[in-house]
Amino acid sequence: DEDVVVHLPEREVDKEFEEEFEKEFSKMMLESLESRKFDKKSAAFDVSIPVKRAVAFQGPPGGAAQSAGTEGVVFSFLTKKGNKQQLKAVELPQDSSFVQSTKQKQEADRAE
Amino acid sequence: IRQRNSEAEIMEAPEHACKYCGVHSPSTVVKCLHCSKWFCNGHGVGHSIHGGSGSGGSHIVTHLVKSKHKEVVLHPDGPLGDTILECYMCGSRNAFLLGFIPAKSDTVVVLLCRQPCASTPSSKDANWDLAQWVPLIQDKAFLPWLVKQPTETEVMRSRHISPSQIAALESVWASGDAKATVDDLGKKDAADEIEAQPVMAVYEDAYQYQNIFGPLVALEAEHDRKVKESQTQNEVVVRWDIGLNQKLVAYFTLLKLEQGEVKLAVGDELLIRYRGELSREWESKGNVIKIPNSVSDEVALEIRKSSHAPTECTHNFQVDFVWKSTSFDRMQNAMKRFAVDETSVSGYLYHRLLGHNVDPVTLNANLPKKFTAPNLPDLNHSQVTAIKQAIQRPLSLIQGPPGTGKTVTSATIVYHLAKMNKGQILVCAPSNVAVDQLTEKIHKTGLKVVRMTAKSREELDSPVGFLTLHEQVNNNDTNPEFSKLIKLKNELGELKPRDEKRYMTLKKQAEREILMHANVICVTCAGAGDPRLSKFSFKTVLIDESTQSAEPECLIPLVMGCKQAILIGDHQQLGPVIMNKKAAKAGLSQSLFERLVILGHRPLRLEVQYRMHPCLSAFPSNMFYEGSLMNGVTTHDRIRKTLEFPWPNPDTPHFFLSSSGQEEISASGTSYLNRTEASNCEKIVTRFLKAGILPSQIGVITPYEGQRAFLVQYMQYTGTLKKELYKEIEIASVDAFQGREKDYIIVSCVRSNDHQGIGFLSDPRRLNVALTRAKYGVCVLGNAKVLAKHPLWYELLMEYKTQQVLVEGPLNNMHTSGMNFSRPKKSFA
Ligand SMILES: [Zn+2]
Ligand SMILES: [Zn+2]
Ligand SMILES: [Zn+2]
Repeated sequence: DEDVVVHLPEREVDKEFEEEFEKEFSKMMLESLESRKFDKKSAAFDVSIPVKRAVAFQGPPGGAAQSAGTEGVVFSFLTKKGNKQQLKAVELPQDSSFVQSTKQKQEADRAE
Repeated sequence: IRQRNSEAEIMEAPEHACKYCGVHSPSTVVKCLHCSKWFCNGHGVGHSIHGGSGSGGSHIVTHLVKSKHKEVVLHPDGPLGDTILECYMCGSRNAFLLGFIPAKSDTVVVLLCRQPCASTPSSKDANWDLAQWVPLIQDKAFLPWLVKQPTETEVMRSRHISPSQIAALESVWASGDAKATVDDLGKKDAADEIEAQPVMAVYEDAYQYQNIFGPLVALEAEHDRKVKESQTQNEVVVRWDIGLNQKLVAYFTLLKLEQGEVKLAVGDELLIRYRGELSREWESKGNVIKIPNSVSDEVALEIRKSSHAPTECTHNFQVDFVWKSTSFDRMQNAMKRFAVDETSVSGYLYHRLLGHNVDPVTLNANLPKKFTAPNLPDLNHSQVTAIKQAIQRPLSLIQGPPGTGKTVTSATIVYHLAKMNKGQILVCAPSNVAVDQLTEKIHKTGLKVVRMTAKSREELDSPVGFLTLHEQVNNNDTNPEFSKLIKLKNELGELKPRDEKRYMTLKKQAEREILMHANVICVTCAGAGDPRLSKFSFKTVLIDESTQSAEPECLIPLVMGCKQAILIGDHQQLGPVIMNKKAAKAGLSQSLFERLVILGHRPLRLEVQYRMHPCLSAFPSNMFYEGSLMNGVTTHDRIRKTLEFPWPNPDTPHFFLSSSGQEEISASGTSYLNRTEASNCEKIVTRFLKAGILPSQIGVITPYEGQRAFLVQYMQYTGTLKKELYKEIEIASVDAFQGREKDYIIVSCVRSNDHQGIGFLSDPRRLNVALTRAKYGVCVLGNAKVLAKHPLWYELLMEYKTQQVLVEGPLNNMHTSGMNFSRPKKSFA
């Protein structure tokens, strides 16, 4: 309910720390990939999409990260609990690649 | 007698707060499954919120990289519930491998690992579009639509952790100390020695604030405990009496008090025990209802458990101080709350209190047409200006030099804010006396006021007794059952266990009811932490005499939801009393008000003084208030023409009587006295009394306990008038006179030596207070030659000299002194 404009002094970026982190991060990525390089190829992923939809999206609790004017698009996030499928609502921003491609497809469909 | 008061449950951040920065809204945090610690998906302060390459990782990603952990789960209260992030196909939980793919013709997404599940080619007519796979970690943060980024406000109010702190913390965890927190980083291994870092003007965040002040408060608490607990006194002789309220009272003298080692206040708790053989063992706690004064050196203790008290015995008692950590606990708790609870104060106040540079804010408030509040005096221009500002701004400092009507101004502000219907107002001051004065004035305006006191003070007489919570509860007549129990309890002293339980329940209800219906609640700063107020929140808080409380004490009322704070005080008068030297040196004795002034917040000054004869206000005005003090009283108002007193100049009723009498070490060996000054003081007092001035109109100020004790004795022995008259004259330290006034003040400086310093007297704020207590006249007794070496005293003495009121000789034949002083090398800034 209030707008506070705070001017904090510019923080010095810790270059050394950042460079080190950059390396550690890449290493972590690489190692993760390496570790599965020789895993057997699995069967192709082709799970059917459940029909039942998740309950309506309720919006983020705690008022975190408000989207600046542009409403997102509600997707369903498919997960598994044990062997049961679950759908959970998740809001994707307009500029995400998934939303973009969905839109393109819809327009293409309409054009047909 | 160590007594941990568990009353104040220390406020903690929730378990799921980011271990780096403390951010804790559920949609922004994830838990590392390997170490069960929570981290946020934000980058902390100093990075643009939307990371971008080149900047470090989000806190969770940083942790995973630094610790080589890989698996996470979302928060149960977040939008997705407690989802473990894993590959839908193979169940891999390595966050660095996971990514989302969308369905081809539906708004559905699923998590797949990059290798092997997302890299196995799928058939053309499959439901899923593997080509669109996006990694879960992008730009070194989790996808922001899956785990939210904390808002800018959240980040600003979080702990501002640095990369090197993160690295240090991770290495402590890696070495096996999984419980370590950022706060533990700076701490030395020698835990018994509390580190005292000096206070600062600006703090990065409330955690840093707490890390600096926490140890200082702990030092002061430890000092207080040690002093109190070492005060056991044996062989105490007791005189028994029954008080007006029919309660048993023990009278005795405590030697250690005279030596000034410990300060005792009315309301303090003592433990008294019988150690003799004439009766069986007995002990009881009690509350001090009287401390030594000029009438008698006795302490009076109201006994709590009078049954079986050996009232037939007088000797062989032992008295212990009961140390209570309550007020220190409340300070620590307030600082914790300030850090972890974002509802504790508004964002604006949060940043202002930490010294951040914030754009000014004006509140939406309609100014009243008439500023004078009902039944309070009319206001002068500077008072109206101060009130206007206080109403319109979220943070105001009002400086009230001596006699400028601070209390009236405060009460008027409270009146207007209450009329604007901004919810209940919390009014505080560090001392009970100041709170009582404010309560009385606010009550006059017609507002509903409740004065809440500590339980230990409920039995004490108070000028605003009828406004206190406990009396309002006892006078309750809305609940017949409760009234009956109250009556019964008063008659019998105690109730049957079942009745007592019911009584307590009803009492709690009644208290809450009364508190909820008040417009204004008045309580000491420490009292604001009372559990009875724990469910209350106050948007508006006014703190009077705020320059007399240490910062953490001021914080107690402020962290109860404050959005508008008004601090009143005067940083040119005495500051908070800090007993521990280390803590004082580190800066605990600097008030919040003072720090805000140092940061450039100009306080609004009340400029018209209504106390002193204009000749008395001139020097303080020039020295301490840039010459801005105006006189609201005339010389005519403050002259007693008929008074027979040898003022060197009857139009300017003040003088400095110089003598070269030597100082001596007092009997206790820890203080000083000066016989010549004592003799002069007695003669002046006798002259005043003979001229018809009442003892209550005279005050004697001396900075030394040794001189105070000596004066009390000396005047009664040597004074030519009735002993009782001298007994009624208040003789005390400068500190005891702060906030009060007398018609005539005599200052006995005591120190008189050629080589050593002048001790207490060199503090300009102390001199300011001493000189500004009197309405009609001031007599200063001292050694002008010695004092003039101090730059400030030099200025004062030159002023007296110019006015021809620097005098020497016996009182009935004082003559102006021809003494000359050379200007000290250091000048008074
Ligand atoms: Zn971990
Ligand atoms: Zn964080
Ligand atoms: Zn997989």
